[in-house]
Amino acid sequence: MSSSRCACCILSSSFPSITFDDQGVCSYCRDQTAGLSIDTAIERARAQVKELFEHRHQPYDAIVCNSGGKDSSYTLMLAVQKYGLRILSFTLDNGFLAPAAFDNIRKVTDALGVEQLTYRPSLPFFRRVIRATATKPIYREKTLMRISAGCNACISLVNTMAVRIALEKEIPIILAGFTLGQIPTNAIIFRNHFRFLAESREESLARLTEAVGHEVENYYDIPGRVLDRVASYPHSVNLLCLETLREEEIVAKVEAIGWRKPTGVDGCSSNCELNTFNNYVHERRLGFSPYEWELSLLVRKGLMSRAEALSKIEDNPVERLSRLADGLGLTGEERVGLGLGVASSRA
Amino acid sequence: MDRSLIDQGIIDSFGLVEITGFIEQEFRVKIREEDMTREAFGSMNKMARFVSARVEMGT
Repeated sequence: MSSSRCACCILSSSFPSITFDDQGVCSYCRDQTAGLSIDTAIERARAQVKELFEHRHQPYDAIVCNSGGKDSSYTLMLAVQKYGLRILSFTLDNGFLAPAAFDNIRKVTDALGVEQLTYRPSLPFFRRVIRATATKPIYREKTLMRISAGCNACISLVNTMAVRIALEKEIPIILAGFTLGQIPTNAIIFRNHFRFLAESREESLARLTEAVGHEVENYYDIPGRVLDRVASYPHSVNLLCLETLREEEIVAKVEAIGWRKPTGVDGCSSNCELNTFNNYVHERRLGFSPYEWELSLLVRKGLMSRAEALSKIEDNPVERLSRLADGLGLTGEERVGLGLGVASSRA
Repeated sequence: MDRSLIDQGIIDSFGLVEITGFIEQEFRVKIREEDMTREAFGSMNKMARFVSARVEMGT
């Protein structure tokens, strides 16, 4: 990255709408007191969670979207040990999870006595989706401020599948391991009204369908006949946002029940090898890391030092990109377009 | 003010979540599931009418 960065957080000069003052402090750091304060949002969410968790359900109180990473593993711990919820753990196997992530899912769910459900979409389909996000403008700039296009496509799939399962099994709560910075402050807890929120996804889904084909609707949509019968949509809750823990403390907590940090992943992921590719594409296209927003918020809250945040986004093993491009089945033209050169060896 | 914030690219799905949360907090109105429609939240003017009606009703 050749751009300069904020003197306080790690946002770079390429970040949308950013300006800097004479001291090199960015407009986002200066304006952090504007709007709903984070502490107020957290307190409000805590009260809502307390009320929501008072009612228990059979056979499950909540479904946890469990990627096998440290954050969703800790979310699972919190759900079971702190809140005493009956949980169904759900994993979307996108074909690029590190082998150690599956070991972690087994160890953590076994240690907590939780049922595990793993869903694997068609790999050729998922590859086409990621290739489309890498080579075409599928999502808007607003969305890409806090997440890469590839990760957004994957997480949207996770969310759709989680809502489907929740509706099918009448599970009233979906828990995810997002931290503040990955989501807006008043999205710690919200009604996951699929039909209402679908309008905002229509345009990007149309672009994805144009690039990938109508199979997209099978994965990213819920049939109208199913939604017509919905009496109440599940709540989505991000429990990690209610905790004030540094990353190393979260790692220590999950390691105590068998979780181990995988190898083969970059500094910003603890489960998915594809993250490195998605980060590369994002930085190449937009000039900033998709983790700058999230990590900058942790820096401002004092939960991570600026040096730690910088070392995380700089831990991006580009030497793995060619193998990932092979795994995604990128054409020679797509590889050249992404600055990846010609194929080394096709998988 | 009558144009959709989504169509204009101003907000995404999290933006809708943010707006509904903001309205509940700021105007102390309860947004029920059946309120979550394009008719109520499709544009700035529609949201203003929704909030105004709810504030008048005291809910």
